[in-house]
Amino acid sequence: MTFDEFAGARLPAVLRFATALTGDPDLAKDLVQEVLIRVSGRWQKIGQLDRPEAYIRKMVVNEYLSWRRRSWRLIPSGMSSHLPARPSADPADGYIERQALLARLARLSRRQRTAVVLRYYEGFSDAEIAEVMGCAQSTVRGHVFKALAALRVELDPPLAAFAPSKETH
Amino acid sequence: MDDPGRAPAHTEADLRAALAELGRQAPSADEVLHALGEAGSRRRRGWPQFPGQPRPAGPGRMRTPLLGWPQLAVGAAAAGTAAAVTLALTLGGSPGRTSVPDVFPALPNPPASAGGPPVVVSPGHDRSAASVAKAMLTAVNASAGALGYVTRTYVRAGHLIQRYQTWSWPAVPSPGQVQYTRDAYSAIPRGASQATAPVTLIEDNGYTTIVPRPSPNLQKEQARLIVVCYAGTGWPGCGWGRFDTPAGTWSKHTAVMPYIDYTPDPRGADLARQIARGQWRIVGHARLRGQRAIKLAQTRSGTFQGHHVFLWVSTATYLPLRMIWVTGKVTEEDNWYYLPPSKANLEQLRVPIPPRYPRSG
Repeated sequence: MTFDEFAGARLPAVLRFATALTGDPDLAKDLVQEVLIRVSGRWQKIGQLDRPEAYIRKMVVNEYLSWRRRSWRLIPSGMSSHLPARPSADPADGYIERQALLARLARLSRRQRTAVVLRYYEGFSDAEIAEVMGCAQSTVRGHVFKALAALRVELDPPLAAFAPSKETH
Repeated sequence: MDDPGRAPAHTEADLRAALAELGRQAPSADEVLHALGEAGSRRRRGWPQFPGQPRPAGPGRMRTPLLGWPQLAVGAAAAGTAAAVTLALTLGGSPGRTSVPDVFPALPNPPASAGGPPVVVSPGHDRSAASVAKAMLTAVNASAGALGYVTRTYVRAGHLIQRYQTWSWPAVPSPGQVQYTRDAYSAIPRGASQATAPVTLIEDNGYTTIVPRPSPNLQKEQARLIVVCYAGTGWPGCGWGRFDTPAGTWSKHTAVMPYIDYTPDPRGADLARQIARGQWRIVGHARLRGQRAIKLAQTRSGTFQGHHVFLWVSTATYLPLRMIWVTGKVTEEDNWYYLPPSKANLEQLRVPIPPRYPRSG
């Protein structure tokens, strides 16, 4: 796959993922640009991978987890001015609840948020999340469990079995 | 505030829907690729990322520049630079904001109590993390009126590659107060060896604004910005949001701008609260900058996961002294100084303008 082919076919998905991860389109853009700069220098190798997108998504996660910009604190993720006006299809209560959920999402630790986004946005399994985040599956479950508690999200019965392990990260 | 005791209010489907809504806000791939192309053809350090492109409608917002954005052709060699330069910030704004008169004095007058001894509430013999946290919070709050000076250096393989020097007064500002900040950025000139070349001053910014009340939304305040962009750095200019300053010139802007919280981060009070929450543990004692200090290490519940982080807190003042972050091959060292706001110290807030540098904006 050439870089242009990747960009045409898969870059939009990477950008959507980065936006869900950061909660802010402009930060997502910065994040992906930085990753693409690194990618561009190694595309000959990355392009030969079976799933270059997976590799790049992992780079995005690593970049996000290691980013230490002050602006992460200045603009709480999910609370930026880029959020749309009230969607007409949503009743007011639903809109307010969603905003409250996004506000709580912004207060999660980055690792918790990453685990949540990978699970609930990308639909990854624990094993896949563990691979992307470079940690144990039990750690992933701990992150998700704690994040859901902080988000006040009720667990579906299958996930309720994922009690947090003693390992916390 | 949220009530943590309330029953869960959302389902997993709600969470999926909220994340999907966020995902739909993603920027277009064309926009990103265009920016990459622009970066490859004419990278300007910290300048607006999309020169010539209209900014999105709506209120201005702070954005994070890609300082040291290398040319794509540089490839792998650029990666280190790109990684190392993600740690600075600037702000962006929508065009067309009206300039406003400069109402800020060049420098603040020192308060009558400047130079008094710092307030120290020692935990006595109880040197538990909790007691240290309490003493530290008291000390930081008592130092709110000090001149904060923070140096932040990045060292790779034993070689200094970047340095920030930030002066901020008051050190812990309150809403409604005028806050004076100076931020000087030094790095290895573009094109010079990252392994051997010395860092040089690249830009020196003065930023004065009124501290707004905390808000999750973007805040705009009247502010004064002074930028001195040094020549001979390999960069054609310096940028601060919509304000461009060509190398070898300086500029001054007074306008309503998106507010930037320039208070050195992480804040001392935040660190104290983290210690109280068990996110740091005492691992030893040391002597640092002529003071006895407690050394703390981040625990597994710490905020800065992915880094090995150590913190030193003075046992003379219970103010933070130093923090070291180790990430891969790069070590970041932050040093805090809480200086009395004397006239001489406040003079550090003034951005010196080199002789023969013309004003460009």
